[in-house]
Amino acid sequence: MKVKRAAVVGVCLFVSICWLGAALAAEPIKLGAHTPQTGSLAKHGIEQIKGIRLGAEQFEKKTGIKVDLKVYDDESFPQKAISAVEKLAGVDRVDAIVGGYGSNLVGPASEAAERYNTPYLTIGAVDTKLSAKKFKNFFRLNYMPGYAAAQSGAIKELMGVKKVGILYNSLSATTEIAEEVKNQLTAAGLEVPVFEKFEKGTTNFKPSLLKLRDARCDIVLVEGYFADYFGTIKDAAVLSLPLKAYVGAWGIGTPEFIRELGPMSEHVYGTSVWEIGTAPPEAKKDEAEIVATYKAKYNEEPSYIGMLGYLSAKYMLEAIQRGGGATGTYNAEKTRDALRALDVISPMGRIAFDEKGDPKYFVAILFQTQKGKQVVVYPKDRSTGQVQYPAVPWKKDGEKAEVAR
Amino acid sequence: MRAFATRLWTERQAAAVVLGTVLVIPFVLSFNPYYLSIFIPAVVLGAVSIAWNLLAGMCGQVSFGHAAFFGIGAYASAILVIKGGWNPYWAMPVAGLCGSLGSLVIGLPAFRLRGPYFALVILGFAEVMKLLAMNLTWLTEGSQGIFNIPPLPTLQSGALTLEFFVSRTTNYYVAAFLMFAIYLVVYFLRRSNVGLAMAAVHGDEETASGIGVPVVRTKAVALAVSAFCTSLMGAFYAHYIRFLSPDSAFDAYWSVMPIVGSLFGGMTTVIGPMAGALVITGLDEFLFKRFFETGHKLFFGLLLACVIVWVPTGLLGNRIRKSVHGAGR
Amino acid sequence: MTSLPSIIQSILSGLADGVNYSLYCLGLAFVFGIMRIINLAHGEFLVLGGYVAYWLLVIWGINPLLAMPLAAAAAGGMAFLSYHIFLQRIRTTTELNTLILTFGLSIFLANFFVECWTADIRNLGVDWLEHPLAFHGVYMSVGEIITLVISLAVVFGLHFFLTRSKAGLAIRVTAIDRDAAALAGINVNRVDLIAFSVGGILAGLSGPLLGMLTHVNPGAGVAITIKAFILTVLAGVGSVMGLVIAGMILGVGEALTVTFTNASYRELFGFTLFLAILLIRPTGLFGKGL
Repeated sequence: MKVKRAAVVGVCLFVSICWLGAALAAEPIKLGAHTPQTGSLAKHGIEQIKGIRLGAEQFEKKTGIKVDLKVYDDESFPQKAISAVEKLAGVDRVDAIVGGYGSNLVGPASEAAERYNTPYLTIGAVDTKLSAKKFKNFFRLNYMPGYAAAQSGAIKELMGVKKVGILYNSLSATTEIAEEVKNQLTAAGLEVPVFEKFEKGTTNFKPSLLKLRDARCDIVLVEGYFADYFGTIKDAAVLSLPLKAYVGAWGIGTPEFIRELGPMSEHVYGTSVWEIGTAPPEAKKDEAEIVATYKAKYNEEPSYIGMLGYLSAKYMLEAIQRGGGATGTYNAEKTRDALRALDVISPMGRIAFDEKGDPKYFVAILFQTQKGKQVVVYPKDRSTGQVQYPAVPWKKDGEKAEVAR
Repeated sequence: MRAFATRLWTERQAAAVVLGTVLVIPFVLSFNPYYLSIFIPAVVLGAVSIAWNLLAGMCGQVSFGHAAFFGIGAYASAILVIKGGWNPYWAMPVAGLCGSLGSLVIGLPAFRLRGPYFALVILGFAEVMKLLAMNLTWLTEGSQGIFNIPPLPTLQSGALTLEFFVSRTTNYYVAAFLMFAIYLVVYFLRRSNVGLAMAAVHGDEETASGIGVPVVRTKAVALAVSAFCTSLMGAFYAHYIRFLSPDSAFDAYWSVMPIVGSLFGGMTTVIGPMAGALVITGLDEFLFKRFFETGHKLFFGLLLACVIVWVPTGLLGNRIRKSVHGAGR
Repeated sequence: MTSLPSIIQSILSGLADGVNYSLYCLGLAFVFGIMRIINLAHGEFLVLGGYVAYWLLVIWGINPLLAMPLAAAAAGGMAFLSYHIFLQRIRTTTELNTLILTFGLSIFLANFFVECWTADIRNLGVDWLEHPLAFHGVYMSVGEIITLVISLAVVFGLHFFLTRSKAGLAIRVTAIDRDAAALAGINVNRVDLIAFSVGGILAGLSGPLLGMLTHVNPGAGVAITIKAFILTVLAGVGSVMGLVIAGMILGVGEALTVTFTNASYRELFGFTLFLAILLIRPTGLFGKGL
């Protein structure tokens, strides 16, 4: 009998402790996210959310703290981006917001977040103007100067050419990087005889490409998005342009890029913050784990947007948690402090924020697509292979490299 | 309930209901900034719809490019304020005048055209305006867009302070005020002699001309007023969103949705378009988005098609007793 | 600074583009000319054809050229359904109504594509079709040449169909005078249904070609519809051959605008021309009356 009573007491005690433990366990974290899920930027927004969702899931698994993730579509519309942030910060009262794609959307959205004093971490807006207002809630993992430096640095050190032609999309970010790179190149003594703006949605690039031929440019730099690369590579191939390299900006070498272009993706250079296999040595294990879990969940490998989304969720959640302490009282100021104290090596390199929220150590990598893989060629200390230069996706006689589709 | 659904209202009664709803919405929504930021564009859209309907429903000239005027107003005001240092309260009406001017530049030659061709000219005009905004970088900052447009300056009167940077409520009521002003302008215009002339031109241009109606001048008045109101709302929008780019200012949304709103609400009335704008905004935001995260707009397209086929007179079209002109209440 | 070979290349590419424009525009021009309906969903029918060709290529390795009939059938079927369910009920109401209806359909279709096939950009590239051929310093790809030939063939084919065949005659008569056609024993409603479906077929037919030369994505329809608009107005109603010539003017004009100024003014050329034609000569360059 005594044993039985002891057992009963023991069970009750056990249950009470569990219950108490659960009660004392940290509150769920509310994380908000807004990206374009419809409209012209839908492609990028959808991928970003995949990464964010995975980031939240993994955080939950590792810490046991529940994450309440709210996702809203801003429809690629600035006013809806504002509404989304108003809802997240004002109605849902989230602890922080991640997301945003496109400077047009992030500008107004980050301003709304500032009004609500809610930390805002984005990966989708590289325009330098966005941090000019020094919002204390604004943070971003990547920004313009890092990309321009990767391109101009590689051109100067790896290619040794004299004349560079630049074609750039008239949108804000691409215009900015084009101008920045042009300044860096001319300052180093190179010539940019062709510096041509084209509208988003252009499908026929032949007249512009012909100008490169007439000016005898050695290489072409195309600052644009996937559709632009597509069009310029196809048209350059038809014209059999005698160029030594084709350098693009963002969105080169993504799974979609390789899948759709096939052999025409060979030898194309692109900037990135990350592609599979390009993590610094200290972060290789993390990278492998993220890629594996992403693949398990979504049946495809993550692109750089997916990875960025993941990292933004991860670091924001960790900052909230760290700021909240053991009692789990999350607040904006502590989260911000935790973010500013961050200094870590991630799959995309070293991450730390300055007082404007810009990533002070951010340097993009320049890779070259070789046989369907991204081989980092610059900066030299992060390179994973040899550059193949001179080489373009097309050859003079119309042959192309052999790559499995 | 049945009486409510079937009895005919007068324009004034319907207007009172709709305007009352607009005034009351913030209270119903507890002044929640998120919901207000959904309904502010709805009120702006309603105002533009009323203005569009002046030209189309009353005067019979359908425009497919009202985004042109919206964008002109937005940019004009932003540029006057940022580059010229003007006070937004002065810049906005002047921006409205810019829109009127632009409308006459394209409209006067275009009035010779009939049917869908006039509509297409205005559409082409909107696209050209967008392209100009993209290319005249020295004026408009091109595709980069204009950031940090100042909001409406704070108003102070004794103890009452109205600021516009943080509060959504004040912005909402300014939009509502502008909308109401536009409504009054259109309402009284309709009852005036010019309104009579417009109705005549709408009915049959040749006959109207035959009985001495100055057809071109009448159309010009309708167009200029419609453009002024639209540009005014565009200017407000610039100070509300505080960011402009050619794509957002001249977005096809502002050309198409006033048509949809007016149709939904009923083009034979003055207040119908406002009601239509409110309803379609509410539907899209609170109903359609719940079903599909990514493709919710497809409901919208389907709804549009169904309404046009099966309920073409719109929500209020059948409900409002058409006023006999002159005796209209 | 621009060399002569580059100018020649620019002009020739522009000509080829222009002829292709006339093909892409054919469906819209046809439906507008015959039925006075401006089909704002025209671009989406074309994109649907492009998607059909894409999936046939990726799943079964079928060449886009061979996929054309299936693509045309799919788009034609979509057009048939749209007309049967929606359009025919509002035929007698104002033109504005059909405009709004087709606009609603275009929104529905574009978002439907995103739901089904994601917003990814799709490439219909086939190796040998992208092979460039050089002729005295001027380059064109095999695919571009074939597309050019097909465009001309379809346009001429339609012209002969309308002028020589019985069905074509019935369609034209109905367009000119519905009542007279009805009195002559033509089933006017059936002609309308067929005509609209043919518009869809023409659009779907060009989808694979456009996809091959550029790419396919859900949002591509709008730009296509607008360009088709511009060309229809430029050419004027009633002349299929006029479309080809107007297309060439547009294509060459765009190319030379880029060559002599820069690429950001390209679309401005088209729209300026559009406005000029509407204001100066609304019947179009070759139109036979409003």
